[in-house]
Amino acid sequence: MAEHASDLLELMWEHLHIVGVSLLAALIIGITVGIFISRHDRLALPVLSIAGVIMTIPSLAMFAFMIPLLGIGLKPAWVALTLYALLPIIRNTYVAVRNVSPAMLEAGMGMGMTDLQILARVRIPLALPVIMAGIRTSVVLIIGIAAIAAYIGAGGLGTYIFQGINQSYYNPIIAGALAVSVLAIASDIILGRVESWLVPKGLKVEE
Amino acid sequence: MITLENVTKIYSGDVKAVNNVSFTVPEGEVCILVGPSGCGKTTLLKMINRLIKPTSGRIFIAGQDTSEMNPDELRRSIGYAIQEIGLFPHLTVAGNIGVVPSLKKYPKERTRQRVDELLELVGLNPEEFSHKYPRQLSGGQQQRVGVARALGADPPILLMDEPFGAIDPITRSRLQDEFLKIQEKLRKTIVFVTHDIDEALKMGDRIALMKEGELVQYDTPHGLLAHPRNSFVRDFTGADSSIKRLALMRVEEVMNVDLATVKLEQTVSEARRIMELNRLDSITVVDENGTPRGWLEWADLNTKTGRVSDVMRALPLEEVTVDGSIRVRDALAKMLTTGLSRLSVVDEQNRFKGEITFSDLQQILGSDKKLR
Repeated sequence: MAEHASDLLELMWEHLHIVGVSLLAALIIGITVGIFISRHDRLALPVLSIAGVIMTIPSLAMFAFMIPLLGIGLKPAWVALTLYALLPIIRNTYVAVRNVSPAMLEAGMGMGMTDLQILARVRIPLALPVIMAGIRTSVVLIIGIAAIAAYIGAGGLGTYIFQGINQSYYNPIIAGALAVSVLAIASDIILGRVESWLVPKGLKVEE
Repeated sequence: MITLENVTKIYSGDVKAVNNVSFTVPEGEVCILVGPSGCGKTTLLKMINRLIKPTSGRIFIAGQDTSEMNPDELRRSIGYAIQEIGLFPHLTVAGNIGVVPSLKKYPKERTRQRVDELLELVGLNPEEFSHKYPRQLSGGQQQRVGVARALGADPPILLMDEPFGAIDPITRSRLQDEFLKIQEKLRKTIVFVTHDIDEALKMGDRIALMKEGELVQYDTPHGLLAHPRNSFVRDFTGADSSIKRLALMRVEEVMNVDLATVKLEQTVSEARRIMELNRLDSITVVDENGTPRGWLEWADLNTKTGRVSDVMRALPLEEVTVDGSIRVRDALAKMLTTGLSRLSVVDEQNRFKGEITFSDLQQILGSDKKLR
């Protein structure tokens, strides 16, 4: 039992590692692209549509597509997970940055802010809560999908689950499934705290 | 200070939002742009800080053509306050007020001082309000912060687009009074848009009355009321324009002064003598501070002796007095509600300064009773 526990922890750590790398990549690409298309409206629809289509590709199929290009193991998992994490982040960034109240934009312009200053001082700070919501969605999403990545040799908690399925042995299945769920819930709670910490008091919804 | 020369704005489809408007706002004056919806007043305002570009014509600020200036720099030297206020919810009150100073790269300490100064100016205690967020403020408080923010970097010019429009009438009246007091101190050059003619008459040194993009009359409030250029002006200022004129004057400008009074401790016979001397049927009784405490009628004195205080008709201060600084129209309202045809005028320390009577008001409306 004890060795199973340490196995589980090791797999959890692996799982987090896969998710962490993909999330980082998705954050960097996603927020940048989101801000970019908010300033170049004509690109918004095509970019969001493509990201939307990617989201709808079933995960196993996605991994399968990656294999001829990147082999099996971590690389295809990272790429696929990054792609999945992108849509919520791009879309939330775009929507939040654009949908700032016109009164605030007018006030900012009237005070003599340049476009870039309005972006940095008004749009982005106000967009933060919605962007964070997008990040939380993405995290929970890819923690779940990462479990499937084990099937293509990427490791992580999915390994336990598939082992159990192969051996018709319930314990690892349940243990693995529980672990993934706990990870997802815990991440959401922690990110909720981060969001609370990041978002200035003035923007928080009244209690 | 601000000169508009043939300013025109045409939108696609030949819609002339503003048509060939020219006037000058002298330095230190409040110019009100007023008119019905769609008359172009807000468009005109926004052309001054180039949020909207004129189709033709030029705008000069302190002699410089604004089209030759960098628009962002121009706007940093002009305060701007809008109806929706537009306070940034993610910044504190201090953060909001400090926006323009920070755009102009003021050192932190200077900004902090400036924020405190401005909060005091608009009547908000800095200790209490600096660190609050906009959502914690009432509408009136938000509007004050909006004005403070517009004054952030001490701009010589202030543009205001219906800043008191979204406020309830009681708070609005108070904000207007406070604003006028602030303007007396600061003497900024202000262009103020409103659709409310009463607000325009109350707040403006000069009024630009517009209709469908054109400037109909540019005049002082008195000029607009007493010498309307055409029937549109007459209709817009209202059938009660004579009563409106009463709203422009302060009681202390038209009251009767140098009136004799008697003191509480004086005897009835002394009072009789004073009234005979001054040929008065009635006289105000004051205490040692000079505060009115009642009055004496000649008829009361005939058979009485003793002190004035025993014989006089006493009345509560608030009912029979008005502060000298209030508008004559408000004094008229008080006369009508109390049924008194005469009111004593007092200063802030409640000392007797003079009297205003109903017949005085009739005189003012009839002819032009001279303002002192």
